[in-house]
Amino acid sequence: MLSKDYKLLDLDKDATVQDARRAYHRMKALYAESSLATYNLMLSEERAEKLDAIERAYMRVCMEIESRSPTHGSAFIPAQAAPPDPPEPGESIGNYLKRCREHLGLTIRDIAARTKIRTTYLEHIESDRISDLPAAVYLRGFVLEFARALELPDPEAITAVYLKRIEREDE
Amino acid sequence: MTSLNYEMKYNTRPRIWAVGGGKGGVGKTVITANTAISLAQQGKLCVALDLDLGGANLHTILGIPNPDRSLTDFLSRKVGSLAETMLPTPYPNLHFISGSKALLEMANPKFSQKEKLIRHINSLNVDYVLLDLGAGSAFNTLDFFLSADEGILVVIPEPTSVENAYHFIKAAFYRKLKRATKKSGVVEAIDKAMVEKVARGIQSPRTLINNVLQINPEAGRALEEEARGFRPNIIVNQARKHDDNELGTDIAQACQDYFGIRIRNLGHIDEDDSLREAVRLRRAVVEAFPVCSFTRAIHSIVKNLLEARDEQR
Repeated sequence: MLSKDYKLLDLDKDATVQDARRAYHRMKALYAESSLATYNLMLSEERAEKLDAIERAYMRVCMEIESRSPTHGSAFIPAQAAPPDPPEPGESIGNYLKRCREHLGLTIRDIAARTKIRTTYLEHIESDRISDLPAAVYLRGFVLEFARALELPDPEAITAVYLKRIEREDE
Repeated sequence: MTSLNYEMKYNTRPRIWAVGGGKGGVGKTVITANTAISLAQQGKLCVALDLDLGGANLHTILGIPNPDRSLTDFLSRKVGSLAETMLPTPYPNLHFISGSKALLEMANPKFSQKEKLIRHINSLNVDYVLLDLGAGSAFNTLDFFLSADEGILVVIPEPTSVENAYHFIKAAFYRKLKRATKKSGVVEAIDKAMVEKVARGIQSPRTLINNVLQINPEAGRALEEEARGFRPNIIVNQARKHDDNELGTDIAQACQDYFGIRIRNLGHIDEDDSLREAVRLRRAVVEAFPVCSFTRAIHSIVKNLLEARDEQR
């Protein structure tokens, strides 16, 4: 049964919590109603069944990973996962946000879905493309939401640092 | 006449890459031409062959407005060998065989003509032959696709294109299975599986093979072997949004889940204004704009295909 779950999520036997989460989000997006890749492959009942199967498989896989390596914590509550390393000296906040996102096994798409911020903006923020970023008044909200979606310890502080650096480089 | 004798000089036959994929206007011809030039730039001797009979325009992309020889000369036996229809192109190491002026009846060559053509393609004295297939999933297109070492499907992020791609994959797969067996009962089982015209409700190839294994274990095992050898490649062209970049991976995953067919995702090509500019200059993009995103994507696709070969060894 369990190996079937791993197969359904396209996971290796030794997958980590992050792998499982990433796979889960990927499969959910792939079999979502709006998915370009599968919209004409299945009837809506089939789709509902598939999505249900993904949920169940993910739940069982997470439980299995927890029992296998309890130190990893629960996959369902990101806060309990091992926190990402704090920003390194000289590291840009954009890069830090990207690192944290990847640490949680989330895609830009996932963040966009949670924050309702366009993926292009999120990408610009991550890669510190100052010229492509929206005006500071919007940017503030975007970075804040981004940091919150990642459940970082102090979103306000991160946003402040980000804006300060942008300001400096803009001069 | 070409100064070199391009026939039967090498001991090994050329590698054949066929570019197809259901819908028209998704960029098959542009991708074929630029892939061929990319290979040629790496010192590989290449031939680009226009098999989009009836709608040929590879010659224009390659900068040969009026090809004076074409596939028709070979199919109508005006010349004895396919090599005699090869034309030089403005690009070093790259030759071209035109499909323009192909007689209308040639758009649907008979089985024997098709077999002869495939035989002659295999005997060309070059490293790579690139086939530009027409749109659709007619038997002839499928057969050229299946005769290639690498079949490459081009899709764009539009529902119609994705739908056609699935149809093409399914049709090519069943065609491959059907050609592998003449056993009674087995052919009927494949035909039955093919009847479903819409993409949904497809009988999975795995179910089909299991059915055949019960009818005829020997034929079933042969089909299993054929199914393992079926591994088409996919390119997502004209990607505009971030989500489009993952369409190739998504289609590959869905094919694995639903059909049990493995697809290799070669990558995506972003929409790029350089294409329009290159057409205006009547030059190929990879040559005219060596650092644009399209060119980078083509080089990366070629690299992936070359590595795919190594991984099979």
